[in-house]
Amino acid sequence: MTTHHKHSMTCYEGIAFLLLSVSLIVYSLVNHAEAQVEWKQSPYLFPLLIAVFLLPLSLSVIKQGAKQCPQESGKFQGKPTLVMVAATALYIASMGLLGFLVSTALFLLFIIRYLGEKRWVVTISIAILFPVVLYLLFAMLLHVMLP
Amino acid sequence: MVDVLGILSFAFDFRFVLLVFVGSVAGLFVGAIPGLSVSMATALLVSITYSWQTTDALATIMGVYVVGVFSGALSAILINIPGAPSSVVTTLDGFPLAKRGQSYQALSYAIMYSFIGTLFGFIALLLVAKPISSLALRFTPMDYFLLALFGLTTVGSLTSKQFSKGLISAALGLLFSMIGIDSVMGTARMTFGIRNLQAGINIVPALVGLFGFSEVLMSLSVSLEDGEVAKMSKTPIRLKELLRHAPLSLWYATIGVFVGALPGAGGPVAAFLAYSQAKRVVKHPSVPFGEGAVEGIVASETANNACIGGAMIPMLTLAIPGDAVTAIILSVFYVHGLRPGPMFIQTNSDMFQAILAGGFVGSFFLLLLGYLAAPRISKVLTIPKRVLLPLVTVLCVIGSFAANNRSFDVLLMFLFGILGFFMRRRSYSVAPMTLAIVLGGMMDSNFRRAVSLASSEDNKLLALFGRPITMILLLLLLITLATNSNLFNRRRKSK
Repeated sequence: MTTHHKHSMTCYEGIAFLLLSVSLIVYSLVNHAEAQVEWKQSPYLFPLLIAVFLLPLSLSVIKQGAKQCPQESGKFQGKPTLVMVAATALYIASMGLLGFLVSTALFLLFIIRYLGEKRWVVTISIAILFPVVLYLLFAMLLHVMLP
Repeated sequence: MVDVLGILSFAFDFRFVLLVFVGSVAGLFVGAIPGLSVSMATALLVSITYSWQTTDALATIMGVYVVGVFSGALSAILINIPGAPSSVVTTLDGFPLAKRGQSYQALSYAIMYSFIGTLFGFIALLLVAKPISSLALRFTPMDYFLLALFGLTTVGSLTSKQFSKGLISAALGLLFSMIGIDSVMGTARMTFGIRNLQAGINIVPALVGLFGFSEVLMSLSVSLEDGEVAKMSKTPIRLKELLRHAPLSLWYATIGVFVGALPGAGGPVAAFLAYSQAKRVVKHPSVPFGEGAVEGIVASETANNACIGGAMIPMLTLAIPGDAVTAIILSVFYVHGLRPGPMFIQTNSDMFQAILAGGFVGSFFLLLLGYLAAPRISKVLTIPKRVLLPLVTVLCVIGSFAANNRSFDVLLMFLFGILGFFMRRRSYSVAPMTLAIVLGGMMDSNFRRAVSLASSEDNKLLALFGRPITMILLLLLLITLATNSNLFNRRRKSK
């Protein structure tokens, strides 16, 4: 990530919050008008208050972004993070189809291996034992429903 | 007056003590495992203990409650994931201390001061239940609103590098808390036609995502090396050194009891208020606050455990639960045909004694299990990141599902995890957002109630802010905002 990119990111954040604030004000006013109740009873009174509160804060972030001194950004490993996000999304989606035990075992098998565990015995043992132990503990012993 | 002999008769009953112990062991694991909450465990216990004697059910639940609130600190210190919202503050100093190889020291302080806080809370419940609840009764809706707002601004100022970023995080949290059926009018708000959002954003998946899954992603994004995981060196700490903060902890415990007695506030607010007090009172901490100061752990852990006794006060005397767990305990009473209220202590003194005995016995199990089990639980740190992070992810999925048995909550956890990751990468603390999601509903209803009440008065401003308690809270809020403003900071720096 370059310094210039970081500098402009704060400004973009501020602009995003500003847009959110304005959208929320419009949303609250429009929905309040449709609800046809007094402001003191309106469900949109508090969201409007939050939006108004957010407005100067977003301006403050934009100001900070404009003034921000160039800084080096920290280390960032994008690929493992993205793979974890994608694998978790697939894991969550697959639970409905494969059930908790199978999907958890497959998720663990893939991700532990991807993150660098070289020993197959360790990977397979964890991938099988961990979901089974969780299943016995939660579903059988504590009667907690599992996904 | 409470019969002390009655409390002792429970405390020396083997069956009662055994059930408290079973609850304590369960609480230790439930609190320590990220994503599993004490409220979830107590909710499950209600169904399990349905057919039990009331005192047996209370013994088990008190064990889970007391030790579960404490053990949230274990994961907060050891892996920077608070087991419960009450332990959020403990991460601020607990984890930095653990990262420096002093996790045993951090745990020792957490155990000792959780014990002191719990004892203080239950002694307060024993002695001052009525006076405190009568003071809480005087709070108007505007007072509740201002108290919550004060809590949020304090959190914003404490946890973010920039005050405005802390407040933005809180504002976003308040927005999330608005999603769902409006409590006053009963209409869907900010659901955008999504049916699953009508029930609102549940705090459990939000908490698990913001602290659990985002931590997994943060950890992966920085490095896969295991060097960052804190190692445990069992350096003994002398009791005299450990108890050095005991006198000041009584002040934090008082804050905990008072905040606990206010319905809706609970452990997170108590811990944050005590922490902000510690920053003001302790001029020379062991290391600066936020970098591993034991004074921060002392403040947070004393206050959140003292909150347990405090939360029981309005629950028993007014039938108003102080937090989620006391709301569930209230349901235990109803299930067993008991009706808490102003006359409850007089008419059901044995139940009151059972609660007190359960609390006192549970606090001793906290001390015992804390010192015996904590060093073993810390072995989780020796698990390599490549194994630990996927296991934590699976626990996050289970934890977010188990609270309501909804697959949608798992999706929410995932989305909050990604949001939390981006926020943390950009220096927005997730703690104010968490607290805002918890307090948002209460703030909304109290604010609207206050505005409605004031609208019929001639002088609306006086009606809203004219009472002494309101004025004090408003003054505290304004001081917090002013002392964190850029103008104030610039002037202070120029001096």
